[in-house]
Amino acid sequence: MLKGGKITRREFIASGIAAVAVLTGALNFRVKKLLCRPPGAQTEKRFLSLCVRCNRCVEACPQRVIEPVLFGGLLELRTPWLNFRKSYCNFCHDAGGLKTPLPPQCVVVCPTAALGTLKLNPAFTLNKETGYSKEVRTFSIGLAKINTDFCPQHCDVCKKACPYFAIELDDNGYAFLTENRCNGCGACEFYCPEEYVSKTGEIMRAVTVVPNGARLDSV
Amino acid sequence: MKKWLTKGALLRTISISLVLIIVIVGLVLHTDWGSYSALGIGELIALCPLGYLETFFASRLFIPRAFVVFLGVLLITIVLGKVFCAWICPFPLTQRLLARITNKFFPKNTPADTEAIDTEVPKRARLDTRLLTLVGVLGASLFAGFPVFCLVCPLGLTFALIAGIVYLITGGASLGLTFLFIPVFLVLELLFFRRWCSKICPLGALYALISRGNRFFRPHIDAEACLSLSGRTECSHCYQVCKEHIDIRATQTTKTLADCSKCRDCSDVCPVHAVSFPVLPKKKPDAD
Repeated sequence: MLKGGKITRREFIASGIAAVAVLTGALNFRVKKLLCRPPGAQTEKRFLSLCVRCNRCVEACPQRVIEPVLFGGLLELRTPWLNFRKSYCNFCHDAGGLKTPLPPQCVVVCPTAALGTLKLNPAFTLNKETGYSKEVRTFSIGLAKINTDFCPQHCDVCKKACPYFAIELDDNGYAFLTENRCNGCGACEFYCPEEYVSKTGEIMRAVTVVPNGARLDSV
Repeated sequence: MKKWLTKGALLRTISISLVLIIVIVGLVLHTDWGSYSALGIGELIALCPLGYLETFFASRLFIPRAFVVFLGVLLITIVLGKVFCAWICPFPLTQRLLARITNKFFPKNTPADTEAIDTEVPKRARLDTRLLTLVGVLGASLFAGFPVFCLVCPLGLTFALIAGIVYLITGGASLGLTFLFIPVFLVLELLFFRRWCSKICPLGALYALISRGNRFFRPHIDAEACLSLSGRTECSHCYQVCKEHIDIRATQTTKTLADCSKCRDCSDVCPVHAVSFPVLPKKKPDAD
């Protein structure tokens, strides 16, 4: 086959080595922490198996918060993530208005349903008293995490930024989160004025969104 | 010296560049047009059939909408044939241009455009190594749980490289060291796998498999006008120019013609204009 066919031995061996290298590299060389995926991405495993890295959600995002991963591991390369330092997710509320919410643009354009169809709650309306209904969390991105070591007292920037009224200040003037209201939209992280350097050398903000994937399938 | 920019080649270059420009404009203007993996407007899309199959095997989920799109691509391929390879995919064109440049600077390298074509027609069908890659890639996706070929697909890498450069200029995304993987792998594929299209590409294999059902726009040879078939000379221009190594002078089965990417090179090169691409197959004693 090698001599009769047009593929040379060298090419055959090279492609074999390349295939093995890519597979092992992709499996072992991964992003150290989980990334926030666009809304509709369910578990990290399901998302990675369905995403064809087509970049449509990145281009369709009106908030321009979705970016392709161009760092980290080979497996995650070119998949979308949410950069809350640049912007935050509004679930494209403006698109359908609050009474008839449409699925977010990234979900609409995803060709393989890696960003899956969201079950939209008819009672999905903004209520000044209670925020969004609890069901909203079925398609949340993540959960905000407030690092009390660095969160400044009496600062209410995140409280004002949160569209779901999930952050409030306690009696001592420190922000705390009501978990079942948090959608992981990243508005708090985007507006947070307090930055610090973590032990791993990463620039962190006092409030960061921890992705859902961690909670759902503990990769 | 043969004329290398024929009418067909010019049309193909324009078509390939147009798609590339659409993709880049979409990228810069933040429309939702997407890339080669999935190109479209809003919910109207064309999805890479290999990408669909890979995600189907990797996720083991049936996504109705993606399946419908996949069927649409199937239908288009059956009607038009393996046109993707000659009219949309920029990889073969880039590879030929690159080979032209490298041959200029390193003339000791393998001669000819990309590969030497032997004029002798093989008696027996050779093993299609692309099919092995296709099966391997789908199997690997099933095992690994992610679309394996998408990671190394030259089309995906080409787009990622352009996107990376655009984002580097506009500050649209942060680039890390892993980004280097993209140009390195792309150059490897372009320079060292000169027979990528005919021997490795699983996407080409898939399109060839689908276009076995293709009946339209198939190359037709006028046996009376053809110098070779009428026995006047031993002309084999059409076979030599064919990038898919199809000898249209021999009786064709749907299997061998499935690889025809309708590039029209044979029609352009024929000295007596005996080759045409009729919409419907002309009546002729055809072995099917």
